[in-house]
Amino acid sequence: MIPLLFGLAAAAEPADVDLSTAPDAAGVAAVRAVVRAEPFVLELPYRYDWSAAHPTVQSGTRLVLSVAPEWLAVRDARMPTLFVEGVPAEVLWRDPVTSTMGVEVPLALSGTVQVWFGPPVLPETVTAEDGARALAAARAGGATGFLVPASLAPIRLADHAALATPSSH
Amino acid sequence: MSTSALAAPGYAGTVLLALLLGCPSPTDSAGACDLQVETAGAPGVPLTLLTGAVGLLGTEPVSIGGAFDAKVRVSGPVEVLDATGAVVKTVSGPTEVYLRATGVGAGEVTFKGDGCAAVVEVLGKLAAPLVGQPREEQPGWRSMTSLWSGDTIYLGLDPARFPDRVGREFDAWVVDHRSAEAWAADPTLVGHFGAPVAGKLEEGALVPLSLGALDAGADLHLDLDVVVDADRDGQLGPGDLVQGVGTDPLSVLTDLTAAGPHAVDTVDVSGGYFLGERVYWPTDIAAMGPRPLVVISHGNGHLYTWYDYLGEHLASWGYVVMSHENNTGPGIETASTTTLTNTDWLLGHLDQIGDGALVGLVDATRIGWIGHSRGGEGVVRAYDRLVEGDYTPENFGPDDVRFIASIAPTVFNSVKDSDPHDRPYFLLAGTADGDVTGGVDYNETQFFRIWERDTGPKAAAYVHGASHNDFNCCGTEEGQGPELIGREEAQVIARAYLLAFAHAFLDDDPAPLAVFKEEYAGFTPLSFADDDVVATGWRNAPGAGDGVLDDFQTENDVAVASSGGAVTCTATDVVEDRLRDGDGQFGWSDADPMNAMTHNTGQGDEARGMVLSWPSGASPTWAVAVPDALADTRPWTHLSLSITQRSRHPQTVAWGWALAFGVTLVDADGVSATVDVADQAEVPLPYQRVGLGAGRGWANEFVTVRVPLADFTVGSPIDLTRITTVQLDFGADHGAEEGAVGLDSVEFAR
Repeated sequence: MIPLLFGLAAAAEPADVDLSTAPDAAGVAAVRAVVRAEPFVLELPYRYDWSAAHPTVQSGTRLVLSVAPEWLAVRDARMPTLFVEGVPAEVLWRDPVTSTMGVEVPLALSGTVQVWFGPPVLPETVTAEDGARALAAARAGGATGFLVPASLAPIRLADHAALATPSSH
Repeated sequence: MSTSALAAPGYAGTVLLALLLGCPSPTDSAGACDLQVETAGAPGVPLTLLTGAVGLLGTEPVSIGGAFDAKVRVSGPVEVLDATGAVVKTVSGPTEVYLRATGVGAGEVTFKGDGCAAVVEVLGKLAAPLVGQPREEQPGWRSMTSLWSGDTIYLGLDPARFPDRVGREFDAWVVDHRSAEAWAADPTLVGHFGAPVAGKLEEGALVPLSLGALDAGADLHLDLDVVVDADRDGQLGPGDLVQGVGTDPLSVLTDLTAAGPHAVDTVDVSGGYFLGERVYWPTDIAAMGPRPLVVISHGNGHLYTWYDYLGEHLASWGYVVMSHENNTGPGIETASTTTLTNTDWLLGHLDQIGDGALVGLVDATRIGWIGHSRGGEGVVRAYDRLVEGDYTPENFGPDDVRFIASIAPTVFNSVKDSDPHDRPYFLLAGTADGDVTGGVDYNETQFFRIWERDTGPKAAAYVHGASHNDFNCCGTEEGQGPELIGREEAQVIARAYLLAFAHAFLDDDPAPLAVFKEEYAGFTPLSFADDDVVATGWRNAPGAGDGVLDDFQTENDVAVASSGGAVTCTATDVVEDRLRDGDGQFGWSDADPMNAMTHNTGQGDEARGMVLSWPSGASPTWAVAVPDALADTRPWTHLSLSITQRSRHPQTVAWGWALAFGVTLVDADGVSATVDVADQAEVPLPYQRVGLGAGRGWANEFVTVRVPLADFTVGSPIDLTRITTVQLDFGADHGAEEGAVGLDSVEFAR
């Protein structure tokens, strides 16, 4: 349930959440599998809002993740941030029926990739340095990651809207 | 000396008040001095003059009989006018002049002829509402400037206030409100529902006179004047009493939860990435001319299509409403961006909406922003960015945003960044919120921080039993706590309050703000369920000129008010401090006297307050000495205070009910007057939610209680121009055998 998920955090402002500490084990275990990983290229790039750097996204990787059902809950107050490597992932959709969620990151992924629910920070506040600390902490905490195979040619999409279209999952 | 020979032509039933000094009676003087001075007042009683006269309205006529010339001398707060409204120093009889109060207190007017003189004694008093409601608690009467449609209108003439009118008959009229100019052009009294109600002022206590119940009709409110036609001539003139000329009219509010008079059109449009919008507008907008725009920014995990209840409601009352896709996932900055971009896109693309039905019909200078949750913080952040120049729209600017409303907003940012500045701001939230909980475990859920940050006029409504997603159609029901009111009732409440606030600041019509200024229990909006509980707050902007006695922001000493006045308090457990819970949980601890305070917990927060308590059997007082600069209360209409019960405090638990108290004013002569608020306001028992520590009770719920200053004069000679002490009275005699309260401000206010 939601209270259990979020009752673990200390009474601190989100900005004070320490990304250097090992993530909660439940957040690491909540990501059960990478069901699919698709590299993509966009004809129309867009600004990535899910990190402080706001890179312009023209290519990246779209993922379908199998997650523990309770971690699909969305709320307005603090909620765990899904990290892929050191970058907060943009959540494209959540499907409680299949307990999956679609996300994308402006990264080319292959090999062992860390995907986990990290501390409750607003993604737009996470700097590259924050992300690097979070990734290091996750690895130090025992996160083993998921194997993402070397991909085929990237799918070509028109724009962000096409990327986020639920029918694509 | 004789007065009996002085006839009273033209004033049937009136009594001569003048004294002839050193002047033979007409019979004695064989006509050498036939000075005759008459008023309508009772003999031997000073003539009551009310401040605030407009032209000759509100003056008292004096008939000068006989053919003579006389000089006019005045002392005290009175002046003499002729029929043109000009101040006169001499009169030539026969004529009629008019006495106008220039202040409060005793005075006299002397008409001095050749060898004789007549003196009219007067007593200037503050104007006060004529209309109110009878009450059981002292002083038995509550002045009102707002009523609900269907309420009975009572006229309350206090014989102690108008001793010169005792024994006189009058006609009481309820008439449609007119400006002073309109009254001057046509003083004919036309009853809103026909004939006046005849009455007679009797000695003794104030006896309310029913003038009937009124229907506000199809408009948001009906404004009325109430006239006591003293000479019963069917004309508004000198000597008559009136509420509505020179004072606030009587506003009769309609059912704010009901749909307005306009049919509504709706369309979905999209301008691209995060520019999906649902737009609502009155079908007949072409006949209305440009109308204000209300923008709705949803919360995280919500959809812009989830606010039909609000969009349709506001549109039915004449507003263009747009609910938009809101980019809340990344955070507050992105949410604020989509509020800005969607507002700008709509205003710049009216031709793409409803086949151009809104072209030229959206007033871009009157915009209101309503946001929910992260969207509720986002709209505040968006306004801050406008002010700071961080974002410059093409089609509107910061001054065009006339109000901001947040429904259960997060506070992720420092309030230095999520800062509503001086905008009129309304906070709506539910005590059963299971998401942005209002709890003290996280800073970002303590939404009153934004309310405190605002420096404009502001209102709050904290709804017992309402959850986070009760304020949209379709979010997961996550409410936590007893007696959940459910989505339907929460939206009834939201419709009423958001309409009231939007109307007030988009149409510059303050009448519906009475739903915030009057405490909920004494002025419950129509169609709210009987068992609804809402903690309502109202605060004027600092620049509004309130006379702050103590807001606890400075002079952080329980014995000294922020105004500099000495404070004496006989309660126990008296502490001044930040309105900040000290231990991050709601369970009671003596070491945390500010337990459950959620107004000051992070960067930029500044709110401070005071707490006190009293055990069973005690009757403590908290009294502040009124500085000289605030002793004359004429600039204000109310004594206003912000007060809460202290959640989970042992005395709150022991009392276990809504709490009442008394307010006492003392003047420079030691005259005191007390108003018990018990049947016009109450401080609710904190919502009995469990969690975050032992016990029941959630965040402290400050309510604003505003006591009309005029009510202190009912049956009392207290002089409101020379108040020396304001005192709060607690204990069994004033509504609570025991209890624990917090105070955020005590002030004179309008």
